[in-house]
Amino acid sequence: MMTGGGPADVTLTIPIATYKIAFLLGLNYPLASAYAVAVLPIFVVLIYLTVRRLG
Amino acid sequence: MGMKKPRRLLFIVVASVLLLFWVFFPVYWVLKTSFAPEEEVWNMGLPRNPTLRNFRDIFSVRQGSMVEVSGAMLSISPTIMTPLRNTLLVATVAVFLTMVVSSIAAFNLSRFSYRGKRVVSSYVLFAYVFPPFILMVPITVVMRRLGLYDSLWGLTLAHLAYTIPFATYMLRGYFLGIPQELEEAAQVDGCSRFQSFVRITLPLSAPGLVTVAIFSFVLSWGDVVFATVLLNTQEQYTLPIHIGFFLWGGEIVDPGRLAATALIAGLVPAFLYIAIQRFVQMGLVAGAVKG
Repeated sequence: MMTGGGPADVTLTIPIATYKIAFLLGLNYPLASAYAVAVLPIFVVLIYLTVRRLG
Repeated sequence: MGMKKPRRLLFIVVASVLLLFWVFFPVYWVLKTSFAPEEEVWNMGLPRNPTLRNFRDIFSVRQGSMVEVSGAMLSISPTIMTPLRNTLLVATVAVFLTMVVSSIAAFNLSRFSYRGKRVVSSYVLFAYVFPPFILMVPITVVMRRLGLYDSLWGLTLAHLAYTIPFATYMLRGYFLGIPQELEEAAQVDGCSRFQSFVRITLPLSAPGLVTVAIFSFVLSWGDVVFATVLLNTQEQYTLPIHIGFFLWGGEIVDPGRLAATALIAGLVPAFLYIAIQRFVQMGLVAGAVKG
């Protein structure tokens, strides 16, 4: 949020890229969703481990 | 051995001081900047001539007012009143709905036995720990379809996606710590199951309910992600989005007003927390050891 991914994308992260693609650069929802889904496996593993530990 | 102890102590002291500095410097900066006159906003020290001008301005500046930044005139935000009201409204409704839904859900998970309960119970947390950015697009699409895009109701519903699982998880732990025999005794005396829940379990869970309410309020109050993607007009903006008015192209447009706005945004949950801190601590401890 502080840098908006700039300057010249050097601080760009996946959440900011997803936001920019979906809401700032032509409302490209499919591409933004693809970004989100691309990192989903990492989160699924982390969430699974968290849920197993806390659940 | 004698040397090791003072070294360890020194390390702990230095680490603690650094940690305190890390945590409290932003708070200090916001505090001192909010009371600083325009010519002193970038000074690191306390303002020599403290003023309430920034607070007066954020409550009185009208929409369309202009401020000069690096030679350019920029339109700045309306008063803080509308975003403050919106944030308060969204957070309050979100807390109310969260309490109603999650207390019933938690009661279900802590008292009834049925097939698949363990899975449901474990994966209530799943929704809470799910990163919000993955849900940005689907929630926006759903809200657009429902006609709730750019409305405070839409934002409130989006917040429930996070507050309800978290609240259910915490309350479930709390309810498990309350003896079921108390409800059974109430049922022997003529209460229905629901009445025993409302008259026995809920009053006994007051510290847990307060804790959950505070956490849900803070979650909703500070949300930036959903407010950014779901709100589109100034009349609907909440405080975290309103603060963005003072940041333009990576630069702070008006540090004094930014700090005053941030201070007010931070004070509300802080006061709330301080006022009922005793309940929060009781609720957290109870939830931690049961279930």
